[in-house]
Amino acid sequence: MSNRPNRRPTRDTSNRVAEARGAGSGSNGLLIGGAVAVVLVLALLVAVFVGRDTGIPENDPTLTAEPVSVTGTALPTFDKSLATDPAVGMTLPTMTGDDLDGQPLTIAPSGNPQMIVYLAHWCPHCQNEVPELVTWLSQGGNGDVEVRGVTTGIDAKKPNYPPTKWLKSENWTVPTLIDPSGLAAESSGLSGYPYFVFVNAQGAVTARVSGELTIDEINSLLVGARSGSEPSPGTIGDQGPSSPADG
Amino acid sequence: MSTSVITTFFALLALACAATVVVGAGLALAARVNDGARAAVDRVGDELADAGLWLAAAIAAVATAGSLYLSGVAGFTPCTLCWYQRIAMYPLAVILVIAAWRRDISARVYVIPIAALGALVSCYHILIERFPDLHSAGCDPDNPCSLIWVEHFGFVTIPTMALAGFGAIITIVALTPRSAP
Repeated sequence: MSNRPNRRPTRDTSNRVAEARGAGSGSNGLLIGGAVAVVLVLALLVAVFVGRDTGIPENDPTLTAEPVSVTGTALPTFDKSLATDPAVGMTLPTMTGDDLDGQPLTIAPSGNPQMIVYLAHWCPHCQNEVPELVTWLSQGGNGDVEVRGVTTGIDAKKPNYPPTKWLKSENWTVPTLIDPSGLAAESSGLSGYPYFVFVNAQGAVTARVSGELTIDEINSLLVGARSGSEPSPGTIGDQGPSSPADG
Repeated sequence: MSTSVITTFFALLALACAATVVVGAGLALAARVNDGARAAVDRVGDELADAGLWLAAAIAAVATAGSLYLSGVAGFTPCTLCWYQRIAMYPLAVILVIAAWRRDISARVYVIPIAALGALVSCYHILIERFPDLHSAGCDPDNPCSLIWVEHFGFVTIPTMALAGFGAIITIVALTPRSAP
């Protein structure tokens, strides 16, 4: 304290300091308060103009689709921790409902091997899987295997809704059932998205997989569906963070 | 007001928070080597001396209210990582209001670590949103953390907003001078 006078700045500097102090204490946060108010008002204005909900047409098949009707025995819920899937050898239930154009569609044993893909519009793994499958299908990768889709887990609150719009924008041409109630997924034992059921020409399940698959994995699973036999253990990807433990 | 308008509003506030972090951290770094920047930091400190803690409290309160709006009104279900971020953000709203009321800048000893932990979780959550395969190979039927409920301007998602909030709180509290007038 005693040395304070010695540290007194020159008049010029002291004036500037006083000015700065005055501005600081005089503003009492007015500058920041003003900036916050401006940001709030601007954000609100921009939000009102930018943030518009894009409605979906009232006649979109996602909205008009009737609940899927299922006949036959439901498959048990898929449990990847089981060494052998109890659904293998069971007959796929017959599922009837509307397709992406609102036309009737039935998924049932057809005398050909089949791969049924269950997709959720909001699931990023499904969003990754679809373009892969579209490319693979466009190259005829599926051969004699019929590919069918089920769009399930439908929720208008979740992103990328409606699934009809999403799948059409991806050039998804697979005959696909809209499953508004989730009954088709439940009857197939779905435990995660995407979900795959492989069926042989006799209509018996040869494999089920929950989680994203690579085209190589799909091709090896199709071998089982074509031959009518179960694929050798280990070819079914145990999808999940624990998968390295299986090797 | 539609959900889309309100989430856009929150996204814009998050951008303002992100700008605060960039400007604040940039100034603080520049102040180490440049006298002009040092003067600017002092000027900012003068302003923050009065309003800094209130500003940080407002950010935490708005983030808390926003998160409750998204889950309670908009109906977006919080995932596990969302909950960890909430655990960090909600107490900040209370601590910062009390600290601002008492003009107690020493509260930053508690505020910065909590906000930093929240920010770390946000970073991991953003990573999973962009690279869902890092977390799992498929979607949990109920509520996977990779699900992007809200996305504005191509990158502002809910954990991005949380990260901006945590970052702005840390920046403002760190720039607020120790001796309040």
